[in-house]
This record gives sequence, structure tokens and C-alpha cells, in this order.
Amino acid sequence: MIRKDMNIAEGDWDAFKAAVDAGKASGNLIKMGGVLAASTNYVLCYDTLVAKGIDPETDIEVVNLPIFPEHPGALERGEVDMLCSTEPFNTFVWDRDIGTFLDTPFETEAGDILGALISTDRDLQDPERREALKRWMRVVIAIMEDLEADPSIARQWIMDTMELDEEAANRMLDFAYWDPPSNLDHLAALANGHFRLGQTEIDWSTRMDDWTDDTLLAEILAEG
Amino acid sequence: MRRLFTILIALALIASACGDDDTTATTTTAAAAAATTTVPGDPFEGQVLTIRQAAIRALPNLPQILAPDSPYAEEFGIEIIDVPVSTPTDYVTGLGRGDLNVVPGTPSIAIAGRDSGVQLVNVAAGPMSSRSS
Repeated sequence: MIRKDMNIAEGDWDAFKAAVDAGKASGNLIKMGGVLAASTNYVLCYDTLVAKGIDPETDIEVVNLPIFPEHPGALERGEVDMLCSTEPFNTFVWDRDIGTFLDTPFETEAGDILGALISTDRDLQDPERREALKRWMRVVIAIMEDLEADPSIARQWIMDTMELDEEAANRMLDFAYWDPPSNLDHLAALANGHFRLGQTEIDWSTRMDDWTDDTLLAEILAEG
Repeated sequence: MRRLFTILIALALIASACGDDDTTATTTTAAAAAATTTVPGDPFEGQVLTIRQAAIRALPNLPQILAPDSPYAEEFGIEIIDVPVSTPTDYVTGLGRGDLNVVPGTPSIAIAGRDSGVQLVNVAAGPMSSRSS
């Protein structure tokens, strides 16, 4: 999301690059706010900027905004010029007419990674807890299928809990996802991204089996 | 159904408050066995298991937000206790301490946790449904 008064249309990376160049020439760098630590979002945004010919280290100023709900306010107050954020906060920015959408950061080697289900070695290795996890995932999968089959469930939840109108709820649903991704290549690229950015001591892309598990879902699918 | 669910939660809380060293140990009861869906090969068939989740109130977590009160929980024989949290850091802390069994989040939480010595695992590293396989 970028500040509305920058007058850059959705997807117009040439105009955005020109604004970045102008900011660099004037010594007034474009400021991008985002959650930096342990953030999938930030790795995707960082690599997207690099792919577009913008070096986040030198061409813009990155501002750590560690609390997502504070993102719309930071843009509104002019503390940053753009956000590397997520839903529902992007829609809040759009709904309040303080920013415009530039692009999704899903064209990097990490793909469109956003979601995951996180447990622990301890839970996976204990037979009873493992079974509890499987049952929990069956419940979650069943609900996901209901949400996909009937978008009105999620739309009504958004309208009720976030006090948004139907148009805003529909916009939010356009960017909604229920299925955590499964592509191990994408997950490896993300882990390597954290390492490249100096956020981890270990390159976890070389130790995928330590922190990813596909056996639980495989068992669920096999059991029907 | 709602009353049964409340009773099961109460039983789980009582069990955890009665000197059980491992507060996240899944608690079993046969109370709702008749209502559960039988899965072939399930060694805990006929028992309702308990799991402790946390789900920040954000749209991507809607399946988990709806899960505790979903009829599917009874159908699959699982009591889901939702633990309030505010930030992803609470996820890591809760999982690391054993206060939580599972959370929805992003892969980076597992990566960062692992890098700091908390043995986190992304258990969704596979097709989530037959549709997405």
C-alpha cells in the first residue's frame, strides 16, 4: 500500500521507481514501514523490491513497525510513505482512503507463502497429542471447505467483527486465503531469505526436515 | 451440545489444575464417544482428546477462530480450548512453554522459533486437502 497523494496507480512500478529515484536524488528517501523480525511478509516485500530493481538497503528507508494494527495509522500520519502489510490492515487503509494498492509480493521464489500451522516436536512425537493434532486439522479442513463453498460466512464475520460494509468485506475476501501453502521449494526460499537478510543464524533451507512436517497431512489424506 | 462442550472444557481445566506436571497433556474422556467420527487406525477411538490452540483475531485465522464452537469438533472427537494471545511472540512463548499445542501463523514463526532454540514445526507442509494436492 502506498500513500494516496503519491498518485501512483495499482501495478505502476515504473511510476513507483521514478518516485524512489526522485526521493534518492533529493535525499528524502521513500519510507517503507513493515514488520521486520520473523516476518514472512517482509522477506516477500524485500525480494519483490529487489526484483523490481529497487535496493531496500540503499534506495529506500525501511522503518520497523512491529505491530500490524498500527500500520494504517503510521501511513495516515505520514510516518511512512508505503506499507509492507497484510490483511485486514491493507483494506483498512483502502477503506479510509489514505492509501492505494501497489501490488502483491507473490512473484518471488518464495511464491505466495502466507500461512502455516505451527506445532512442536513434542506434540508430533507424543502419540496422543499427535492424534489430537490430526483431529484438530480435520476440523480446520472441514471449516476451510465450508468457507470456500459459502463466502457469505466469512463476509458476514468481517462485517460483524470489523464494522466494515459489504464492499470492503468483499475486497478483503479477494485477498483472503484459508489453505496454508504446501510447496516445500517456496518454504525453502523463504527460510533462505531470512538467512540472507541476516535474521537467522542458520540457513534453515538446508534443514527443512527440522521445521517442516508433511506426514501429518499425508496421514489425514490417506485415512480419508 | 454447548453444555457438553462446556462440561468438557471444565473437566480439562480441572484435570490440569490437579497437579498434572504437564499442563498441555491431552486429556481424554469417553463422554462423547458416541458422537465422534471413527477413523480407521485411530488408537484413541472412542475418546475425546483435548488440544490448546491460540488464534489471533485476523481474517486468515477464521477457520481456527470458528473451530472451538464448530460442530466438527464434536464430530471428530476433539475439544479445542482457545487461549487468548495478542501477538505472534505469544505464539512462540506459549508453544515453547507447552501452554499451547498448535497455532495458525506464518512459516517464519517456525523458522524464527527454531533459530532461537524453540522446537517449532510447520505441520502444514503438505497438501491441505484433496482439492489442493
